[in-house]
Amino acid sequence: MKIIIKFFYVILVFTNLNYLLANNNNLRNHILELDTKDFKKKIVSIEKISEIKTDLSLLTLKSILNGKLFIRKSDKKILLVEIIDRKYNIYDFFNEKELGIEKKRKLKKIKINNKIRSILNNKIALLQLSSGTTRQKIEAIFDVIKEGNQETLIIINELLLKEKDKELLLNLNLAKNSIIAKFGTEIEKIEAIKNLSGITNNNIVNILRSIVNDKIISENIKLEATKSLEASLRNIKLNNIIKTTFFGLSLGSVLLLAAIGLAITFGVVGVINMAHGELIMIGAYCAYVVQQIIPTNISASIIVSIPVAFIFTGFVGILIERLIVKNLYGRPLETLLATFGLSLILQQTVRSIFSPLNKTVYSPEWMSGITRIGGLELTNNRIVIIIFTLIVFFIVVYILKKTIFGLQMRAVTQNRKMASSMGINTKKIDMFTFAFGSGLAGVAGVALSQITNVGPNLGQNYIIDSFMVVVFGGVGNLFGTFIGAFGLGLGNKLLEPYVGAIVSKIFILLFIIIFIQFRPKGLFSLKGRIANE
Amino acid sequence: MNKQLTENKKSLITNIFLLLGDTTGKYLITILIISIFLLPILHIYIPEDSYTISLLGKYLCFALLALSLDLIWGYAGILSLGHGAFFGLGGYMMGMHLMREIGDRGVYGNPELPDFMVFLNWEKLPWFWYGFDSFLFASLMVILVPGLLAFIFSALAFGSRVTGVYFSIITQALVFTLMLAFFQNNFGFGGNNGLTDFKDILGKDISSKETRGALYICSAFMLILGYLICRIIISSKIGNILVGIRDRETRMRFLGYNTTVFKIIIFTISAVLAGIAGALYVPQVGIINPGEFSPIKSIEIVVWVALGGRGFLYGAIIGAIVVNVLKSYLTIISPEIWIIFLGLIFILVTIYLPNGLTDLRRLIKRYYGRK
Repeated sequence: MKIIIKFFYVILVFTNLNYLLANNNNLRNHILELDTKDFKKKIVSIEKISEIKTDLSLLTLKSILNGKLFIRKSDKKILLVEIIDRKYNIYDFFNEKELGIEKKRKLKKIKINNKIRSILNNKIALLQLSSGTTRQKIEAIFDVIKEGNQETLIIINELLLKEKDKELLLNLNLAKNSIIAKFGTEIEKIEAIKNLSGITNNNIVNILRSIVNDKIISENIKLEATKSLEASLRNIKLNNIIKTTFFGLSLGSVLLLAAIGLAITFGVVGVINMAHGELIMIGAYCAYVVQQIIPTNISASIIVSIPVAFIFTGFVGILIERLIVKNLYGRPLETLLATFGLSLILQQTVRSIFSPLNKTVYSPEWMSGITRIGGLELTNNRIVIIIFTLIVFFIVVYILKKTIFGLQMRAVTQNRKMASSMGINTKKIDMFTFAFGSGLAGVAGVALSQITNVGPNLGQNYIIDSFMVVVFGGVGNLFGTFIGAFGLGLGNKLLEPYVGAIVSKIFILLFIIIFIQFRPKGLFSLKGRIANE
Repeated sequence: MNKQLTENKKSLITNIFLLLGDTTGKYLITILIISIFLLPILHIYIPEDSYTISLLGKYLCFALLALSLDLIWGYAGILSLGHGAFFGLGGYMMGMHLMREIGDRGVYGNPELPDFMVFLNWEKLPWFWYGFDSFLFASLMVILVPGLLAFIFSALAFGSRVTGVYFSIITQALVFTLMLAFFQNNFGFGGNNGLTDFKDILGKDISSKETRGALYICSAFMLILGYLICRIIISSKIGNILVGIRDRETRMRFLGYNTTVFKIIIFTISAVLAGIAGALYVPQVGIINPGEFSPIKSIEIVVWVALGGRGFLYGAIIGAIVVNVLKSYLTIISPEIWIIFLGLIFILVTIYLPNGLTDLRRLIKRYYGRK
């Protein structure tokens, strides 16, 4: 029995292989037919190639479009060519084997004109429509919208009957309407244009705009198109506002993560830790190292690296406190300098251990990719970080408000001497607070490793910003830090479309410098006698 | 009235006598004066070497910069982490004049516009470049621009009683802001590359031996002058008030002194000195770019003063020269070692030598005294 099954299996494989080989031979012949100066003949061959409908035929069309498909003059071999530094690196088209470098004059490029280019685009889109993942199909649909014609309409109608995926159906309908809006009868056109109202896709907006600007088209259609276009433009504007807000929240959450540890150490211990940025950097390297240890499971490595980074940087924080900060209590300016020196040393040490080059920490699958809401595209890693930041923030608030450690910490912040007389070991609280703040910096580093490259200078980029957040929000007040971070993040991103990234940053910095003049202690400051110390 | 005048005269004389009591300062000035006569001559007669004197001149500019920082940090307790802002601005003002002196000898040969403006397709000179053809105007700007910025900035900050760590942080924000702004190409100061390729200064070839020697003499002279000005200020009544502000500002305020005014004055004077240092620095190194505004450079200035010992004036000068000589040697051996070393100076000096190298002297004395 087994033998029979095996036998059938072999036959199956063989016939399949045979079929593939036949296909490849066909494809090869068609490609060779492209080696002609007659563009009409080329179009015929391209149509034949697209009828084969395999991955290779798709690759053929794509590489013709990109100008990478060549034929060797001597043996009529079909080649893919990568041009690097004016050198022609050739690959076998069918098995992608590297064949070294060839001289330009021994190769012949398959040339195309604009007409063929648009045909190619169309054929590629159609091929992609019927194969590949949902995402690829949707991309293909957007291409069809740009260059669609009656022929594609037939295929789309076919697909509409077959397809079950809701998102795909929605997009297919869009494509259908966009084509009808161009090629249908008047009544069909009006109906299609109505259906396109409010759609934010760039290609559709262009189609609507061209209809509005069309001089020979009837007034009725124009009126409808104007209405639809207005709705679309309105939606685009709304989308942009939401997008900007999202980017602002995202930047704000990064700032909050970076600043929250600083806010705690500054608020409680009263010293500025200039090495805070480097603690963030060390946290990011923790994520990198953990990922090197368990490279197989990226999800797990990221989750594991959060406590690892917290404990490790917390421990570094204790060392900093014991060895440096402890000796300098009551001399805040000197602490600032000493910790700055430490930040130089930490940076250089990391540079020596891990090399100055940036490291990549891979994101787990649930963090990469894009979430689409309507016409909006929001990157998942930023969404995750916003949520993560909120979780971290509420945990910190909980610890401060509901635990004994938090109570003692707040007591020391408000009045060190009084707290000490009440039997709180302020030295110990200082140490643990420093460790806690440093640990939070490490956690921030893990989060940052997911949105930027991890390098020795990672911390430097955030240190001035996090100072600004703490100073703006007011020292010793976590709520102030929260408002400060999101306020600055949103402000920065709202200005950015008008003046550009750097200038908006300059404005924000100037704003803070001026703001401090009017509220020297920040947005929310401690009140009472201690405020003047 | 007359009596008061004579008293003032007397106090000026006592000030000069106070300077005589300042032994280390006296030595320093003597060395500088000797170097003014000796070095340029040596420089001209040693034909192979045209670099050392500019290097030494550069150190003197840094010393002046450190001096300006010590004036506010050592005596008024104001720690500026952004003194590079004033140094850089002074440098840019001088750089603008030197750019104008290039005239039509640039790569593009445009007599109206500096090269980078031609490169960016600018039609005409921006208004803020007007007047920089004149050396006198540029020199005035070297004093006015950093001075005015410092005056406005400190008036705002001290007026609303921003002190201590907060003030340090906003000075850092100031210098960081300037860096971002000057990196912008359309800001009108050459963007990333800054101002460079200078040809002449006051009609003399900027790279000739004579000019380099002259620039060294100017730097040394300005350093001596700066030292004397600082010494006179701090030995006067103002100096005492400043020390009072440093040690307990609230008490000074309750005693009836308007501490804000004194702080604004001293901060502005310090910024002007820093600006002059920058202006002397630029022709000697031949370039000014936004890198001078990077926060780390400003913090490095603090380390010079901290190492030399703050609140002695001569300490700042010694610190600046020692650190920079070390930097020149160590970066040649290995830049990594230099960074670690710099970090260690920060930590060790702040913890073990709160008065910098002057503490070291005392420690040695005590050690030998015990023997």
